[in-house]
Amino acid sequence: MTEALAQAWEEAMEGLVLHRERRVLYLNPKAAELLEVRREKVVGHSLLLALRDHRLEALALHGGERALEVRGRLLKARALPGRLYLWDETEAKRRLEALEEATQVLAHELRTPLAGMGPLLEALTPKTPQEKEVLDLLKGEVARLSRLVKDLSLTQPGPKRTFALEELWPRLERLLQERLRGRRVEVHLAHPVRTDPEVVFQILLNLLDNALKYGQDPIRLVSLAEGNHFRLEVRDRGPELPDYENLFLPHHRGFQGGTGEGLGLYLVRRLARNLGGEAYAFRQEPENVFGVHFPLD
Amino acid sequence: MREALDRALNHLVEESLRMLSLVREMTQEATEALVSSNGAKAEGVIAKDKEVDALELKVENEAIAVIARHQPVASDLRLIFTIIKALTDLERAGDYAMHVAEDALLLAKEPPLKRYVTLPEMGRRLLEMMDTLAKAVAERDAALARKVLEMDDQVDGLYEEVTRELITYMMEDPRTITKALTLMRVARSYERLGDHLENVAERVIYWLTGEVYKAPEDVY
Repeated sequence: MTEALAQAWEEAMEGLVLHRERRVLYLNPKAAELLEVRREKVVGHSLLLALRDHRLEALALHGGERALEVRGRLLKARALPGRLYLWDETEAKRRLEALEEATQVLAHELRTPLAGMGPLLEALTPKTPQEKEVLDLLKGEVARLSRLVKDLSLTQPGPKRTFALEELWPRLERLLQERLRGRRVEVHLAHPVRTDPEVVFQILLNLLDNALKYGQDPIRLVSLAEGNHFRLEVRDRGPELPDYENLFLPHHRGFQGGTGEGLGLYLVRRLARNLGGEAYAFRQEPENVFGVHFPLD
Repeated sequence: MREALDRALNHLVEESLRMLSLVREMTQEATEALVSSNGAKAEGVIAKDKEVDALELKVENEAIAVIARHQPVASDLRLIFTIIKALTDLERAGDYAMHVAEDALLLAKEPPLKRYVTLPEMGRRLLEMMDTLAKAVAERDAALARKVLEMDDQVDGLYEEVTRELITYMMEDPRTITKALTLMRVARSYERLGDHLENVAERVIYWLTGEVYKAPEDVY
């Protein structure tokens, strides 16, 4: 059995490094390939000599899970006491970049025809109730597509101004009034910030939209200032999710039967990064927390 | 006694690799901050420079302690001097990565002059240089260290390219001068960072072969 297991690790598609007291005891061929080392040169030697990356060494010694760019590859690393597992995520990253590029091209190509369609539809006069119904539907769909294209375009944030976050709430309330009816939403947006209000509005809209669709009341909108960083969170009492990081990938839905395009959180992350920050999600009993942080100007 | 000296020398090599790895991380993040106009990331790089400075001091003290305790000779002494001299170059390389981050912070406040192509390419080549250098040290491979010298020539070539391109921008539209000069400073920082890595590679060749190697452009 032990021999069969050892043989299996020799053939595994996943890298494995075994170590003790900062020395390498074993690494399988896949780990040697991913780390670009020769086994005979590193087995028995120090861990740092094999990993040649202080972040990877720290992870191996302290445990945890992280994705790291190591020697031109994106490695997903998981560390347990004495064991470091490695996966190559380079291809997944490349696919995501290709998707990003295709999205940009598509958004660019769609923007002009869509901008023309709105005024054209406005110019039409419906003659029957059915025609009016169809026209309203078309207008609604064009507006939705225009919003999607705008969100997908990777634009630099617009002009910054200092504003109180509370200012954004009445607009959110107006836009989501139908869906807010009968729901319990607590707003604690106490801070003034200096950034592009449109971007913050879009972030809050997407996060609140998600919470209303999939979360459970009470939903809380919270702002927090930490040093020179600022956090904006939407918290809800929905059930714990199996994975929080994958939710930020495009077309990934956290819930079975989700009705959106699976782009909401992906867009939130892009918007947060445009502001020099990041989007995150985690469980803090009894709430699911979805938020962004970005630097205070 | 010999065993204790070997252990001490291996530890010094490891700590130098750690310093190289830190400088690599700084260079990578400074380039990402530049490309994505990410001011927060740039600030993170600036903070990391202190770690590199502290590590330089620590390893230097340890190297001196090894000389005092073991009185090494021949190739052992050569290794210690290689490390002591390489530390200075690595510390300077870290400073240049920090300068890139400082300029990225400045540039992030306004829309970019253009989409950066050659500058991130310089950053990418420097990362490859550092990876090859780390492998040369870890596997005691002088041929790999020589490859690092060739790679620096490519970085120098890219530097020339960026400079020419930015001069064209400035000549065409004087309003771009401020940004173009900042970008030129970024290119210069990358180029100098590469030179310091080249110095380390030369010292690694000296350690492994005893041969004093100087890249042709360094001989005046």
